[in-house]
Amino acid sequence: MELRELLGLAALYFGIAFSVIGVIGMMRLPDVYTRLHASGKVSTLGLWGILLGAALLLDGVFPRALALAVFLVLVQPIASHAIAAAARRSGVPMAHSFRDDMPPIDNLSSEAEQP
Amino acid sequence: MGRVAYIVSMSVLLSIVWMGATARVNLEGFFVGFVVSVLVVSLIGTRKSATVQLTRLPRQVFSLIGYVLHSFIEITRSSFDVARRVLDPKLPMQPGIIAVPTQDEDLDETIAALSAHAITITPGQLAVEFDGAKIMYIHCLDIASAQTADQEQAARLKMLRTILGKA
Repeated sequence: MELRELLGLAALYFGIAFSVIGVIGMMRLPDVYTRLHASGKVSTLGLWGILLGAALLLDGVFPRALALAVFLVLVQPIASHAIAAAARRSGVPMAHSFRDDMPPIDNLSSEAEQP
Repeated sequence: MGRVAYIVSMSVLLSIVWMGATARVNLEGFFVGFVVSVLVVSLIGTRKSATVQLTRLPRQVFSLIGYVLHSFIEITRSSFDVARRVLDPKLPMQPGIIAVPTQDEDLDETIAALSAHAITITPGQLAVEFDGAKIMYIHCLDIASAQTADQEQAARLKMLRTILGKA
């Protein structure tokens, strides 16, 4: 087996392992906000691993995999933020809250004042 | 550096993305991408979120590369940190929402957005809500690890201002 093939398989299994950890996190963590940590970040690294594996194992996929990896890291936090903001605005409570600095949405100055 | 320089620099960046997306990394692919990018950028117009100046350009590019490397390390670290917490039988965490000021005097929305993006990909932190461009409300998986959030934000702000050509 070539070194390239071996590295590709290693990256692939690394990615799959991280994706599985992301799913375990989704099931174990108690509420929306904490689950977003597991689904979002862990799956970023998981998908990177799978993309790297594809780039190493298949020919001519590297530029496309790179573009996808960059796109993923630009877009993933936006998705997480959108879900978290939507949950907060519709009043989803935190399961365990050790600290909450955030005032109720109505008291934020942003929405009313900005043009 | 006026409108033309802005269009050209944006088009070069977009052409690189184009080459990646179409998987044709050669001169032909670059030129096709460049033509398409010039059209797109001229149509969208020049919303000034970054200032491009020839004398500062090397510094901006170096900071951008440094920022990307820094982000990559942070993403890897954050993923391993979250994975460790998730797999621990005791599920060690102290979740909470903290307020972090953006510390930017101009209240620039681009900087606020990029800061929130960077925060959302760093260890166990997730931007939930904004108060204008002034304060970010961040959900942390462990509020103890968030005590350095203000210092990190100060360092991040400095890097972002250099990249966008504001300092």
